[in-house]
Amino acid sequence: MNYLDYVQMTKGQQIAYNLKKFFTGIPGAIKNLFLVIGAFFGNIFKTIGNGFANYGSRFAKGDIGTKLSYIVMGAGNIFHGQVVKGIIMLALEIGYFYYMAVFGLGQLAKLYCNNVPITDAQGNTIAIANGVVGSVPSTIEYVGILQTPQTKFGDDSSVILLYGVLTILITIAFFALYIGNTKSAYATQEIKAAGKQPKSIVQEIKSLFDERFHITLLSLPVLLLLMFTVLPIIYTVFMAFTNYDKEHQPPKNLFWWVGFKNFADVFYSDPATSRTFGKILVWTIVWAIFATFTNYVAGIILALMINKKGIKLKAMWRTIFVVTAAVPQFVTLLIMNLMLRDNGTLDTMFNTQFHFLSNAMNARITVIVVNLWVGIPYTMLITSGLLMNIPEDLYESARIDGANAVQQFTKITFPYIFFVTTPYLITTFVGNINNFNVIFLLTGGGPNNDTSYSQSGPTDLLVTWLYKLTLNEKDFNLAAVIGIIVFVITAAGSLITFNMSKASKNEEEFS
Amino acid sequence: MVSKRKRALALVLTGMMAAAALAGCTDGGGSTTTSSSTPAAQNSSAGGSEGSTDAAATTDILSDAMVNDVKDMLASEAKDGKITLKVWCSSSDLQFEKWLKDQFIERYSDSRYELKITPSSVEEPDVSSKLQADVSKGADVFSFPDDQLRTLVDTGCIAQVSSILNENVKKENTDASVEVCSIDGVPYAFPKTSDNGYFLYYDKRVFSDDDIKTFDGIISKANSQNKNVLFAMDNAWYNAGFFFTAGCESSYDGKTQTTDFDSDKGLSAVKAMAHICESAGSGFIGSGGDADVLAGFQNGTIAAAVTGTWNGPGIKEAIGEENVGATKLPTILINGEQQQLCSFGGYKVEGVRANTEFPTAAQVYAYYVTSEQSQLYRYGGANVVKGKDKDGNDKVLSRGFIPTNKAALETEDLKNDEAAIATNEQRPYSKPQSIVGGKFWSPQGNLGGSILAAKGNLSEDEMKTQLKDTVTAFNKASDNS
Repeated sequence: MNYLDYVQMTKGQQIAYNLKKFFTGIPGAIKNLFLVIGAFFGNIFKTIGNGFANYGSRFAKGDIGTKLSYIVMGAGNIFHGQVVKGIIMLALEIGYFYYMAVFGLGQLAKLYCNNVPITDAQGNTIAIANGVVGSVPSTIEYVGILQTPQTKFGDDSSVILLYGVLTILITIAFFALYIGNTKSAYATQEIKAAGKQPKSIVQEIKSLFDERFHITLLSLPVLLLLMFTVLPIIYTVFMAFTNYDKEHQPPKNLFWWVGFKNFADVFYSDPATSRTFGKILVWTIVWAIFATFTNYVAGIILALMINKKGIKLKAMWRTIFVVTAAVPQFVTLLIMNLMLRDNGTLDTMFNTQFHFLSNAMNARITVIVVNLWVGIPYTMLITSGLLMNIPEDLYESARIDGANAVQQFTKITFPYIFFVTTPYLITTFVGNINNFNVIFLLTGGGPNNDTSYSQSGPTDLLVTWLYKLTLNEKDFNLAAVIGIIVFVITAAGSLITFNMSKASKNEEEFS
Repeated sequence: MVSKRKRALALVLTGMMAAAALAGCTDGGGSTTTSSSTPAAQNSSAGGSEGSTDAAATTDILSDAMVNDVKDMLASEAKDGKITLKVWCSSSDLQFEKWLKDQFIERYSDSRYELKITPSSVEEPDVSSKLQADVSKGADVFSFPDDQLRTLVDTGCIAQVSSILNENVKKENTDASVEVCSIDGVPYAFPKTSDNGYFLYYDKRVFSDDDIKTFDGIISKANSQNKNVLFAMDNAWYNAGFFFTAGCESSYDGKTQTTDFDSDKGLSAVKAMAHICESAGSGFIGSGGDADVLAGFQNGTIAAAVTGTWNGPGIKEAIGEENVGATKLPTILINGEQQQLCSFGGYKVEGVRANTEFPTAAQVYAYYVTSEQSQLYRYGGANVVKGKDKDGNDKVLSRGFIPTNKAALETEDLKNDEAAIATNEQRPYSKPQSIVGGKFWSPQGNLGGSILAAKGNLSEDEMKTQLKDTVTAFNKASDNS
């Protein structure tokens, strides 16, 4: 359909056409997403394959130094004149093997132990388990004249799992370094063959502050990212496949691998958990949609009103509305809780029972409305900035063409705002799926009067349920599963919507 | 004196030798783990001291006669001439516990070792989580409410009570308090105070002695005076009493919660709850925490509340000490007859860390701070302990906590203490919290909340569905292993 056909349609037809286009576009968008993901992994495997091919060909073409560097790291560099660099590499190799021999291999071996005795509170063996993380159970000795028991704690599964993950990461890093070492050996061999001298260590260090300055700048952030983001994520993912729950808590108890059982529990095999999961998932999405769009619309309306010509003291109004954002969010929410709870300030003031928070539906509406109070200022600030940026001549020419206020809004203002704020909307949506503060401080997941919710309440989001599972129930494995699910939902959701949005399709173009 | 002391020591030693012999026996049998051999040894030594009942009185190792024996034990355990114990107690108890520690050191210090005990404040609800986080950095001796005992045992953070000491603990303390200190019949803690449970506080100006006998009586009297009675129906700790009154049973073995709540008895409990919830808003408030209780007494909306000694001072301040009455819980209408409302009995207990470096010293100290005399010091009255506050003014260090020790409970002070009497009267109807697991509280609270939200207007089918949901939620349906 071309543009002429489109403008000849009636308003209703246009809306229907757009809706149809949107929904027929979804499968395509999902397909594209998978194509992108597929291409991404395809590239990775291709790179790895090429790497191995090059690895072999370098060995075939290498001289004695290069060949030696396949076993003794840094040998090629030393052989070709880069002595210091070679020695550093050799030291790293020795360090790695020392770490593995003294510590790493032991931790890796303990990740999966068979025939481990499981003991009860008195130290008696009650079962034998396979696939256990850790192998030494706790024992109790009775000492002294009073025969007082003294426990010797065995392995701590959670610590072993953590060190196991760390060792795996270190091994991957070492492997990358090893491949880099063979590359470097061959590169120096070629430089020598060309009759030149490879870079000295001084020149290498200088280059780190010159043409390779990006490596100097990025190495620390990448290292920290690995330590404090990637490592915990991998740790949590592993945890989802164990039985690290209330009954397998350290220091006395070991936990072991159970495969996909926890996922099965959450999705179907445990009726109480899976029913709760379904209910909470639906409410989480309903909440995220309402919380995002009510704030968005209300913020735009407020910004439009303040920005309207003829409104006096614009700065003052803006400041007044921003004050709600200046008060720390948790203070606002706790005060709201005091006001709205049963027999709270409002109930006492009007001498009646409103049940804002003690009835499931009321509580859900209340959190969405209170969230307006906390969230509107942000949208208002962003949109009023945008509004001031829209070129005035657009409106002027629209007025000359006879456009009324509504048309100006739908044709100029809103497309402009929507185009610029789509990424903001996506981040807000994702943020609302994980909006812990509002729910936890206002209702705590309550009201606690629905027996069909297992260890949770009608206003619990996935993330507050996760919190309760970890802190109150100590079911870390279930919490890890839910963490993974939340990650998948938010990552897939934001990728799809962002790929479908105008902002990503026409990055150069605007309006 | 000398002969008594010798007999006591001989007894202890016999126990020890029997234990050693048995332990050696099983070791010879080819078992390599000490863990499997020792429980047998434990039992035998326990049996040994039970056997000679006439001498049992003298095994009180805290008696003056045995001070030197205790010193010998401590000396044999000292490492590099030192014994160091870390003690945790709540911040409000810290000053008293420090005073008590000084008494212990004065009594048992010796030239052979240096005795160092350092109490520090860790709030009681946090004890189990703090110990679990890093058990090796935990206190050797710690004070905690008995509801955490199951967690501490399951995670292995707490040591069993020495069977020799436990003979004394069992004899000296009330049966109920000894029971809450055991899990599956094995003792893990020393009972310390018995007032962590709840009973009825009421305004004597509003209610007569007859009014407070039945729950319905309280509600109708409160309603007629435009006041309310507060009972946290949406809180499992309180509302579970209805089920126990109806004759329901519950048990928890560390993995599975077994209850018969989903039965005709459970249904009658729900009906009794519904009956009371019908009065919600007219004489009855079914939801509220400590702050609501105190605020209610202050502004006059609440004239009676089911709560515990921790709110006692606040209530006394609100309506005047002379107007505060305390008594056991009222009766409720269940299956057409009035029956005494049951409750969870709460105790504060003293535990010893499982992997403490000085197990004997830690257990003796735990036994010392929970002994009759220590419990009386902690309560106050005739044994009141006084110290100085920061500004150097006199300050009562005693905490007013009601003892668990039978002899201490027989003293004049405690016979006349209303809160102590109320706790005592409620005791036969109270259940230990170890009969429920950690997953009990939230679903059971939801059940009460649901009945309250409906103001008791639930059909029998709805009641049955909700009971079924609740009981299902007590357990995860499938189990690992």
